[in-house]
Amino acid sequence: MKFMLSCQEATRLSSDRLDTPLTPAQRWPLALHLFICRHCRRFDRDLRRLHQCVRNADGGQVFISLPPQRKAAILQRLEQEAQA
Amino acid sequence: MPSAAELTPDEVRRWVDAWGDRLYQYAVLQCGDREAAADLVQETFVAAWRQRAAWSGHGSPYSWLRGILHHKIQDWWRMQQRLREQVDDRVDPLEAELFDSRGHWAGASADLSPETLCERDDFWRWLEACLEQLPALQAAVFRQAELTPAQREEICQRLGITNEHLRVLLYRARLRLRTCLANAGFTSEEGS
Repeated sequence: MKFMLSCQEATRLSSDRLDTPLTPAQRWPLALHLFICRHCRRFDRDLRRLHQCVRNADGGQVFISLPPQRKAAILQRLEQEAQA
Repeated sequence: MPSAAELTPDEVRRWVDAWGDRLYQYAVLQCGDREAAADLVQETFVAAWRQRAAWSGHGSPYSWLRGILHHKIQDWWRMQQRLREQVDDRVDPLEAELFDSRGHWAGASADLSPETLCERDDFWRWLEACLEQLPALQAAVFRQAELTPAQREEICQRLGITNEHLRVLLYRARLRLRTCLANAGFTSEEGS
């Protein structure tokens, strides 16, 4: 088991643990690294926050609209369906 | 006996006006392909009309429509065979930029402001802009794993990649998104 992680290895584990539980052999070195490294601590915090934010991707306020010609096409298609 | 909630063509047309944009945005975020997103929204409304007997008349039409759209998005991802051809993007220059040869941060990292990240109105707009700048496979993996929450095994199967490769791609996508969002001004006030 490797005890001293590089920042690159630590950030990789910060990412992995959002998807899958770490093994103890990964967890303790990561905890130690995060304790001593402020940059990786922030990276870890940012990643967790981003992970929480993107769940329920309902997109919040609308910033992209259906192009008008596509909307017209949908209405026309529904017209055909209703007459069918 | 006709159900009290029976849908009329007029009502469905009103739904297109009321929810079309929102569904389209949802599909764009999940697929990253605007043409496909518009097609899927159209199919959703047609399917909703054909299945109108299943509409309960209670709750939000948007939730019902989004449920239909969600399944269509999953099917769409299953058909994205072209991504399988890109599976070899195994080296990402960004990692070499961010970390030195010993694996330490090469410079000050760009911190996000975690407290306000998604409270900002423009979060999703920027997230989409940043996703569009990602290598195709990274963006595809992030959209499927994080925005849609699909099963990891299912995503690996669709793309023909291993679980380990999936995690590498997610890691790189997150590195890039964090950097991109920080550059877009979602930075921490506290400085270095």
